[in-house]
Amino acid sequence: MTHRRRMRRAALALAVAVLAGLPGTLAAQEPMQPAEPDPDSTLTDPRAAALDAEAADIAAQLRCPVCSGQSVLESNSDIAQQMQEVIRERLGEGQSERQILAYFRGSYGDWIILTPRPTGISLLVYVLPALALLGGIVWVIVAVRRWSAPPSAPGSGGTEASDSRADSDTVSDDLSAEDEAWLRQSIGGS
Amino acid sequence: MINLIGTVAITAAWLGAASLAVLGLTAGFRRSEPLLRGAKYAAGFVFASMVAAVGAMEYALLTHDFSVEYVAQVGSLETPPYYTAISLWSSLEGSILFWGFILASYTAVVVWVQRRSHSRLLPFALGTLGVVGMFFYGLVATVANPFGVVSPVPANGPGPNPLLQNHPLMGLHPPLLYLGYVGLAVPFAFAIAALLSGKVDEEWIRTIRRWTITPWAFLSLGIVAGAWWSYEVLGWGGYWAWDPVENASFLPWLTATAFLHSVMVQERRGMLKTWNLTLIIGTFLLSLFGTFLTRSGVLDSVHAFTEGFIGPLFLGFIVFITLISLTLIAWRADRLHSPGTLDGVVSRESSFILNNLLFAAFTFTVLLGTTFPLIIEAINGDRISVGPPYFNMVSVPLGLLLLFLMGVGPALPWRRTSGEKLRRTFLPPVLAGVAAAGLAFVLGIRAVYPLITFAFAAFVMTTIVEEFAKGIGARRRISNVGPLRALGQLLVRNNRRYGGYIVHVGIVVIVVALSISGTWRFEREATLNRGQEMVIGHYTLRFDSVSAWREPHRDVVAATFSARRGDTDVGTVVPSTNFYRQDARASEPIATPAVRSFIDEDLYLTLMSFDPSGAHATVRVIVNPGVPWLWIGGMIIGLGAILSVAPQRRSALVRMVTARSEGS
Amino acid sequence: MRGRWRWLLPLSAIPFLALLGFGLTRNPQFFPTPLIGQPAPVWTLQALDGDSLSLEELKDKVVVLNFWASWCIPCRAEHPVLMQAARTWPDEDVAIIGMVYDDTERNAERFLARMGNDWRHMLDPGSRTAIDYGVHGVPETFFVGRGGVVAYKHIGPLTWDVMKTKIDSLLAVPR
Repeated sequence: MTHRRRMRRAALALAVAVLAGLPGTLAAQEPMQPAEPDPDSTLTDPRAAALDAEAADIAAQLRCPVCSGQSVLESNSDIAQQMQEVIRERLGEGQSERQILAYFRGSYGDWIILTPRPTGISLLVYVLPALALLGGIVWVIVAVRRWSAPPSAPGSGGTEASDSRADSDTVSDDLSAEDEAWLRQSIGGS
Repeated sequence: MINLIGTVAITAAWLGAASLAVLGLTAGFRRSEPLLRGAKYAAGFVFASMVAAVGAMEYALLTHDFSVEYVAQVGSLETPPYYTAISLWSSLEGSILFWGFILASYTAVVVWVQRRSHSRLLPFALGTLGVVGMFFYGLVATVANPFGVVSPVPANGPGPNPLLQNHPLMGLHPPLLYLGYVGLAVPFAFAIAALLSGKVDEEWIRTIRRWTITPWAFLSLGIVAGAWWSYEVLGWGGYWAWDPVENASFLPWLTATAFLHSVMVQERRGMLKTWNLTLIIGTFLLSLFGTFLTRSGVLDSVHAFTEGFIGPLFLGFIVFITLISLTLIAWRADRLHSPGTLDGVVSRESSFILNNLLFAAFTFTVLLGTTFPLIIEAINGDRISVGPPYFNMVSVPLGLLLLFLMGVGPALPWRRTSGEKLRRTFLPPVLAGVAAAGLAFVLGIRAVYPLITFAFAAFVMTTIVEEFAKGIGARRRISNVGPLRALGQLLVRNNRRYGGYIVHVGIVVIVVALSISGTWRFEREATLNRGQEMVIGHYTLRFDSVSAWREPHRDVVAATFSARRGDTDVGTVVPSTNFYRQDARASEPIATPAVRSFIDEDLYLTLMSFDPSGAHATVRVIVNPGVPWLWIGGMIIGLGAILSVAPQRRSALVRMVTARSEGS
Repeated sequence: MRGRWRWLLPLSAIPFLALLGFGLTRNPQFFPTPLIGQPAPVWTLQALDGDSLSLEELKDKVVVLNFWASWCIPCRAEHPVLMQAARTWPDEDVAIIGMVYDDTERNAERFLARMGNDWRHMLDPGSRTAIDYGVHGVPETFFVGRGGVVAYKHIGPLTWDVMKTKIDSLLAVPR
């Protein structure tokens, strides 16, 4: 297979990998530390257990107002416990997650929600990293292209020796790079 | 008296640093040996002055000399000696003094280690270290002077912030972190030296590699120690909150790690010079940024010291250093450009380039997320939050990709490989990965990210084991020794490479532990009467009693719980609430969690509230699987880094040739 | 990187450095509140002296809602300002209401016994009202105009200047 085709396949594979990763990334919006419902809980009411999990889910998305960056779920502070009570109360009344989050947003402002809204200017925080990654991939591909030597270039200074070195990589790798360089210098005079 | 000694010492240090800057840079431009010698003496003088300054401060702290401003701020007759000693870095002025001390020490070490070298780089590097030093010693000597005089002398002081005397780890986390942060000034200095002298060659690489691994190792350990401290002290059962200051320590770690890999490409192929220079300079700039964040109040954080004059001065210094170093790179860019070639797309070079790409993306994303609230506020005045859900969402995929690459890179040969070789090398690891995921699936694990993590972890571990096996085999072919001896020889002769592999093992352990603890952590809160039991997971906890006692610096109220794991009695777990008796600042109690570690998980108790008569207590219990392995993984990284840094013994062949050529 | 592109490197740092400079000019503790211009969240609470009171009962007055706690140091500093305000404006025009935040009845009473008390203080069990108002620390004070609309939120201890300016401007609005 020619060099170019190999490169194109590599680039394609990379692009596929990245694109495949994106939906998974977007799906993983939930916080990485959910407090799972206690498997040995003495609560017998399944609805209460479900409420606890849902309440924990919402609490994990809210920022504790008096702590530095902790979520309402993590924090031990009084206000966090009280906010958890408010969440449970509203869930019990039948409010949805969106309504409860909207309530807190109405009192505290957008700041109380730990994840920026993917609308308006805040969208940038999601878009820019993706662009940076894609931009980086493009740059790397262009650079690798520029750097890739044409196939079988003769006399490019000891390609033969380096090939055999590549084969017995481990043994010669035994020589540290410094020693190798020093040796080449003092013996080969290159 | 101490005030005078301290102020004189720090002023002397500043003068020494100024001389160091002038002598060093002039020695570089004029290629003057005597001026270089002068610079070395200046470095020694700075070190001696800082030893005196820190010595004076520690003396003042330990003898409770409240006429010294810093001691009046953080000292107290009741604070135990250990915490008094480490209160040197518990508050702003002392921490900058400590920063300066470490900088002076590193500068002196550079002079000592390079004492026989005739490098073109050394004078410029010393000069740069002098310039950096001028800022920090200058801060301490003027705006952030801990040696101010307090009159009338108070009888006692408030002691350090209660959070900072609640756990002995406070004596480890900041020093390790500073040894990392400040240490990065050394490779930075050599990078500037390379730009100023125009000399970017093998000697530069060798020098800078050595001077990057050490601070990198300290930074890694410092970050792990910080996570451990947060876990043991803050009582929320977590260890990493993506707090702005935590992120600020993570950012230079990311770029430094990227550098350690891409510099190997430069070593072998002479490429990526500009990129490497930018990377290592950026690392120090990020380190300065982190130091700035902690002390300027720009971003709200659990770490924020105080604001005031320090912030603008710091920013001024950062602007200065950033613009000068980046302009130097731009100016020299032409000279640095070297036409490199890649022989194969699938090679270790390209995997390192990919690794750098991922690290760069990771750095950009974390930096963006951390500063995004500031950006939004600058644009339209709104206040938003970017918290752990965002950072977890972006870091997990990137982290997994990097994990995968960690298994691929070292197993690929340099330059190029063949399809046949690829298959032979990667078949066992791929099979191992699939087997691990399959096993996990069979055991009932359905969550996607953990499955991927286990698969990749098995993949990487297999490639590492393969590398060791290959190395041992090669050694045995050469010197015909037993496998154990061969392994020893590998670790000694080729410590850079195999130390690196051990670091990789540590990373794998940490990533797996992160995945496990993030996915299967669970908790329960309960109010128990005396003698009442609660069940959580396979643990049974019984509330026994409440006890209180007085310590010199605090009152402790502790609740004793008897714990059983399954049917085995595992003793008592005693969470407490510590009331630090100081002035009004700390009338709030510090809830101190109790952590019982098992080989696979932690049982973590926080006392939420209690009845003084001991009739009942409310406790929050968290079961944290995998967490002990975070700290074990950190230690493995430390061991690998130590091995990697040790000077490499020249092989017998090279020694022979050296002897011959020197003889002739 | 060659040619003129290399100068992009130092230039690209400038916006970031400017951002940090901007960061130094603001205080991360101060948050804009979404309640400005909105009707003040209603409440019906019990006072320290036992009587019950609701926000509706105060609808024709300018209302100053001051969230405080006995453990809060800056609250001690602003207390005299509130005392002065209580003396300056008649109760029919301006209602000063203290909202006890995250504290016990006994501690609040003890604080007032020591510092002086000239207006009503409401207990807020479970901090429901504080959460309604988006309080994240004390002291915080809300100035509500006669129509029941939140005009201004002051974070931190009050000064007499602020007190007078805000109340005068709200009183100037015709009924």
